[in-house]
Amino acid sequence: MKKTQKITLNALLAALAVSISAAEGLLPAFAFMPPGAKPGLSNIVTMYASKTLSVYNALVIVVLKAFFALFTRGATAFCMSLAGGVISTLVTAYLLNRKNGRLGCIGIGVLGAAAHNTAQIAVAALITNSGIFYYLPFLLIASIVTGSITGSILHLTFSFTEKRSTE
Amino acid sequence: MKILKQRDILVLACVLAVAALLYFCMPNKKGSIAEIEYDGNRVAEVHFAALGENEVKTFEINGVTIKIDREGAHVAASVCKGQVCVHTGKISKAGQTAVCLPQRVSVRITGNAPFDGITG
Repeated sequence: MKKTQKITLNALLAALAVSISAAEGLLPAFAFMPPGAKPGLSNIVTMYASKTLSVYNALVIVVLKAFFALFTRGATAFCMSLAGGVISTLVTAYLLNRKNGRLGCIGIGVLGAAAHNTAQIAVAALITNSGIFYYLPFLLIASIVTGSITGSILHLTFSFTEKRSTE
Repeated sequence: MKILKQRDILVLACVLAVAALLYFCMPNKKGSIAEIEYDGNRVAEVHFAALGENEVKTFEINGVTIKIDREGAHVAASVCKGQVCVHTGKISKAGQTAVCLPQRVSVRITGNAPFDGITG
């Protein structure tokens, strides 16, 4: 890929990630999910970017998304978004780009979601008090569900784009 | 890229195991004190187990309304957008917390119940 192509794709993916997370914020609270849990669909975009572009391009998307959270939802949302995004992107980028990786898309999606939630809980504990760790087990179970969904969609995206590029 | 490999199931099992471990390590006893914190500082402490039958204490801190009665504490209303704190519902066990991150207000249950086995 040429440099301009990379920059354009990165910008498109960043816009996609921001719009997905904005749309996700409009969804009502889910039944059987802990309060505040979201499906984290924009993680699909950052995972896709860290595989097709590089981990740096994925981190650019994370930072842009965090600034979007800062302007629309304030400083607390900025810290939460940045912490969760950076940690989960580092974890998933490492797992996705590892040679002879023994993990499939679902495992990577779940680990990414779990890392995301744990980092956010840690930041929330810094802001308030450590009692919030009470939520962690529920969020981990939620991340199994949401991570499986994002991982499956990521797999679909990969198989679709690979088919397109070989045609 | 495969969608699911053998290791993935192991990963799922591990995350589930960690969640279960954390859950069972959490103190599960009924608490007796509700602590309200704002910006990391404790602003109020209510010994809720000692309140009267129909006694309700109401606190308003930075746009968050917290109501405490004999059965526990809950966030009745908040000016924040997400309303996560309100949806948390009533908390009464030691270690439970209802947090409103946008307003930096939290209420946490601590302490052991002075009496065991009072029901109803």
